[in-house]
Amino acid sequence: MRTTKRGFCGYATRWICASAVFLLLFYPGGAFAHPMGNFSVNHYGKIKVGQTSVEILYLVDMAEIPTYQEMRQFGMNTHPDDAADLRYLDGQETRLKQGLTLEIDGRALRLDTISRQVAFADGAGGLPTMKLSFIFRGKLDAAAGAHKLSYADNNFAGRSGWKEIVVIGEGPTILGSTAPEVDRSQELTNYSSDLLNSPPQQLAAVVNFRTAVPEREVSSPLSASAPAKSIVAPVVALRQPATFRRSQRAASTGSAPSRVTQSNFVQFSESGVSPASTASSQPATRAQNTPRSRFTELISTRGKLSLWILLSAALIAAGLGALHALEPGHGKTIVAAYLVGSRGTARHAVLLGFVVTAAHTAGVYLLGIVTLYASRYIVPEQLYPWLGAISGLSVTGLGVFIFLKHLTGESGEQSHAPGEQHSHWFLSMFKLSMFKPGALRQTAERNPLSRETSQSETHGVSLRELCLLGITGGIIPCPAALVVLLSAFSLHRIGFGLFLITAFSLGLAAVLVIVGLTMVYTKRFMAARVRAEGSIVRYLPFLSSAFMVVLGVGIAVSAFASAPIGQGILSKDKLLPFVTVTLLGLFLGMRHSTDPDHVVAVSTIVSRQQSIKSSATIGLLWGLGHTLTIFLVGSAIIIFGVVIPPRLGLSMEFCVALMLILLGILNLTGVLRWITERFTPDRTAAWSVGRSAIFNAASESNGASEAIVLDSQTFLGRTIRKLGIYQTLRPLVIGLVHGLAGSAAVALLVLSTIKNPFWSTAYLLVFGIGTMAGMMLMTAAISVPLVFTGRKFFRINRHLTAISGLASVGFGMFLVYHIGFVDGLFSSHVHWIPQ
Amino acid sequence: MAKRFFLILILCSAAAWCQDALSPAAQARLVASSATDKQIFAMQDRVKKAPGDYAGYDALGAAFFQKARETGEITYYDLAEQTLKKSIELVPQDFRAVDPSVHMCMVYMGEHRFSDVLTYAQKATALGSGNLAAFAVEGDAYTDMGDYDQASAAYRTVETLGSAVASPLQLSYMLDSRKAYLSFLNGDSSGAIRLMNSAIAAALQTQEPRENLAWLYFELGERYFQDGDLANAERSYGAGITTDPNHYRSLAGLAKVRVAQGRFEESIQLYQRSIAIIPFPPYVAELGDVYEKIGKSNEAQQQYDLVEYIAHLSKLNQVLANRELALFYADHEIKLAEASTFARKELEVRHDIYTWDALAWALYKNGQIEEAARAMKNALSLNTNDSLLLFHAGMIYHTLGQDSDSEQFLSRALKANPHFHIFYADLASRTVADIANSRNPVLRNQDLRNQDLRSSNAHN
Repeated sequence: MRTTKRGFCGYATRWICASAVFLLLFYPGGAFAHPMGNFSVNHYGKIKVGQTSVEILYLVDMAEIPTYQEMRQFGMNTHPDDAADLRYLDGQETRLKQGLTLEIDGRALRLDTISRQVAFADGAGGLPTMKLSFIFRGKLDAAAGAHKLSYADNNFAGRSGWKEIVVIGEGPTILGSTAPEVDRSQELTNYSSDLLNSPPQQLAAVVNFRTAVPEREVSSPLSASAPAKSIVAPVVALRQPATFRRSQRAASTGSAPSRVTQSNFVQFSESGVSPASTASSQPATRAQNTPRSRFTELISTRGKLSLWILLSAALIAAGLGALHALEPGHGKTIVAAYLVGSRGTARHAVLLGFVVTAAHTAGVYLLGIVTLYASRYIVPEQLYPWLGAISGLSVTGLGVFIFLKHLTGESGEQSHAPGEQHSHWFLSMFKLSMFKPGALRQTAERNPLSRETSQSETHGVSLRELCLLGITGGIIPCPAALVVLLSAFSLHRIGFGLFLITAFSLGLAAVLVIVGLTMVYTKRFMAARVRAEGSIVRYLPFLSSAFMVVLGVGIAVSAFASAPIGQGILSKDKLLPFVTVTLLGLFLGMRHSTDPDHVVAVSTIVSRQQSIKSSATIGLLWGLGHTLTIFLVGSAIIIFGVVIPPRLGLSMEFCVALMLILLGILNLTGVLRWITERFTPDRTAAWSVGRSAIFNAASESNGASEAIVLDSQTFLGRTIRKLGIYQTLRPLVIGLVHGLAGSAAVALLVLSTIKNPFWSTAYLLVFGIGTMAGMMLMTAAISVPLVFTGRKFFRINRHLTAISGLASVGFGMFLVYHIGFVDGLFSSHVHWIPQ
Repeated sequence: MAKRFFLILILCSAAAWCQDALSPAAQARLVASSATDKQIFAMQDRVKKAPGDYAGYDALGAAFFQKARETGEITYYDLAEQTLKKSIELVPQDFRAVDPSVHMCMVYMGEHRFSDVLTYAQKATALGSGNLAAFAVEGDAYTDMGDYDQASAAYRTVETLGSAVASPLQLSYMLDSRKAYLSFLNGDSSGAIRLMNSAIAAALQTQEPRENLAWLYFELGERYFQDGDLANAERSYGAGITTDPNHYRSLAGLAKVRVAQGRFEESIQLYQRSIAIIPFPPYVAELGDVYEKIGKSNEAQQQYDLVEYIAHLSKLNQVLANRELALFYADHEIKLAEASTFARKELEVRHDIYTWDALAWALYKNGQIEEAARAMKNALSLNTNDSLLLFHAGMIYHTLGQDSDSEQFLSRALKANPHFHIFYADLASRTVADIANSRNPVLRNQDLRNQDLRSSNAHN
């Protein structure tokens, strides 16, 4: 996108000089006669590829001024059978033929003249215009099979005019052609052009075609209608009415385009009727003939979607929604289950089902509408590949996430005794609401409530609670629905995608309602029902997540491969930059992680750690935060060309300095220790009521990370759980701040070396991974002595903490001084050189 | 199970989409001859996909305009104007409307609709984006209209604003060619050459389109030629041709140098190449002059007829103001009445020094010497060092009998460029000699005027 932007800016400025002073002194303004301008020379080639020959109908239409020049020079007049005309035609035939090249499989084809003529028409003020037409033919003695034809028209190179080429296969199958099959000007009789269809400027064509077995030769109209010998047709010079007018469309009474014979040709010059005019009813370009199976048409047909396709697609989507609702461990089932626990009625079940559906649909729609809106203002051509890339990456991410979740969570689910069901529901509900920033409080309120209800079963269900529950349960689009939406985006069929989502949500709602109803009526069998789901259902998630990963990678790769982003990472010549970018990014990323401010900041945390593993995790988390901002800000710089003013850049670095000081002070005063201990895992039992101010603030600041934090079932989750919520967030936030300060610098560095935006962003990502790895190693290394001394020399360890605190404050102060006064953040003259 | 089916479905559709994205269908239509054509087709594709994309329409309009510059073709001016109108309709009336408005100005500049240029330029500057181009194009309009003070004021604004927002390179490219022309008009030829060179240096670094670069080379060639520096002029025009082989102005410029060097055959070929691209009437006339010079009066007449044919066409097209035609008629002493009418009409559109000059010359040929002298005063108001201008002045004053003035102007013309015109350079030196001879006053006014008329008749 950046390149386009740059190109565009170029446009803005490059015309500026252009217009400087006297632009075109001679301006042929006002009304005009020849639609292509008084001095245009328009030329046209219609190439007919037959079984045994290639025929070119070559037309030259000269406007008033060139006509006058030629007539003056050659002493011609507009009377028929003028001798000068014949001489002129003779000369032009040779000249024009020299300007044409026709090659079959790289071998030049000798062109014989079949017919030639000149006609005059009235232009402006009755001044003549001249039209020459020739039919050239080359003998095609190639064997049956695929061939390549290349055609180039080098006549009147500098002249303005309508320059058109059409290619028609008569007998042989055209496999591919850079020229269309149908002409726009109807053999230079109708020059209609508008903003989106300016005069064609085609001067060359390449055609791949396949000749069939020779039996069809006889049926070829070309060989049947004209002998292979060259014929010099008598010159027919006729005065004819002005057929060149822009508005005047030639009457479409010509014969079929495939039968251009000599007689037809004469007829054309007499009446001005184009033989190809009937061809306009044919499909516009070859491009639309790309073969497609019926199945792919289900989603990807453009323009037309028949009712039954819509219905069946809707049915499939609804079925998928239903299945989705039945998936174990999913948030939606708990909603239904909740009804059981909360003494719900059938009415509640139905209501809840629809609230969830509405919320779910709204959530997905919101995303869709944002995209639709954005696509109005951002050029889809540029947007879609990125959207495709982003969807691909997020689908991959989701797939991996779900896969990991199921992989690690499977045993946990199994181990639940029926009596513990409730706490599991709570957990997953909690997890679910974590996705929605700010929902924590609601869940926190709900938690005691559901507990109470489960215990006493005396509470009723209020409408408000139902709605809240439904919305929190439904507002976050489930991965499957997102996949539908993102696929729809990448197919450029947003409307269809939204429709499918509705169907999907309806299916989901139906199942929820049914489950709710069933559970309401058969409370007792609930536990059994949950268990009854067979092993296939249990493994389904693995399969689906694996599919999603594959699909996501596919979408992302194809998006990257499409034009505006890059030329495709899969091609061989891109392998070198790929490897270089990866290696360089990893190396520089690891080096970057050892920058002094990074080390100082992280050491304040690590100095308290008692195990190498948790230290490494802290390093990883820091790297994650760092990568997140670097990637976001960096790609904004690269892709959208965002410019970071020096003051902002310095301010971001200043934030790092302040953070260092704060960390140091906290470390020194022991506040840190208090906070850390307050939220280390043995105290986490206290969360169930979860009302800590810090906790709430934290949850709002970064919901996603908490979802990971709270997911006790994954490996990472378990480690993080050990560390505690605060411990996790701290390195992440520190990483985020560091990333903010460094991103501009890194992006600029990349920009100067890597021009392609795709490679630049890829580099950023790899760079981020490098910093994560580097910091992980670093923190682990720092913690090694700490861990070993820590056990025996607690006192030394405490000193170490103090030292790291002091170092942090000191370095922070130094940065403050440097940024504030040397670089001049507080002065009027700011200079910032990103490093 | 059905979920798997669903995923397969998505996978397949994704595959179909990939196929779509990779198919060269769109590129097939993009087979175009020049970069400008490619830009046009690419932008057409873009706005076809996004009908509300004002920036796409703007870029398309700019591309049409560039095409119009390259071909001189009316169709493209029309298309550019329509496209930019559409872009302006689509864009909200804020800073985003500046770019299309500025491009519109340039189209109108090409069409010599100066008041429209000013309207749009002022609209663009009023939107307050600080867009340099808006001021620059406003200055261009003032320059062409002859409001030189306002032009330099506009350029000064560009300079002040530009030093804050644009890179020195961009600014240099944008301003130097414009300032060069103003310097030339104000009589500072060497300053103009220096500025043109720096504009070219900037343009080479900012990688401008070929046609624009060629145009700069042509301009530099003009400055060198008007300074009498044939070697450098030849080099500049040559560079223009190398940069853009279809740059008809550079071709004609080099042809002019060949005439000055006496290499007429080469000159004829160059003029023919230039005319084959765009039959620009002054060049057609110059080709006729070369034929005349080497005694091929038949071919010469053919070229003159072509000029008149084009004039006839433009009359059919209701183009009544045409400075170039006025000069052609005056130089060749045909339709002299029409010559002064054309010049006067042009004066209604603009009152720059060259329009005054054309009027003066047409009036002189019509025998209205007093009026011619008054018009000439306006043409000389900037003290421009243009040999042709000075020659016209010298001849007018000579006829008026003010020989010292006449001698001064003619000598200046010959000093600036001894080869400034295929016929007039000789005429100027002869007149200067005559004036010197007739210092001893016997046969002054009457004879000289007769001689002058005779000689110019002989040439035409």
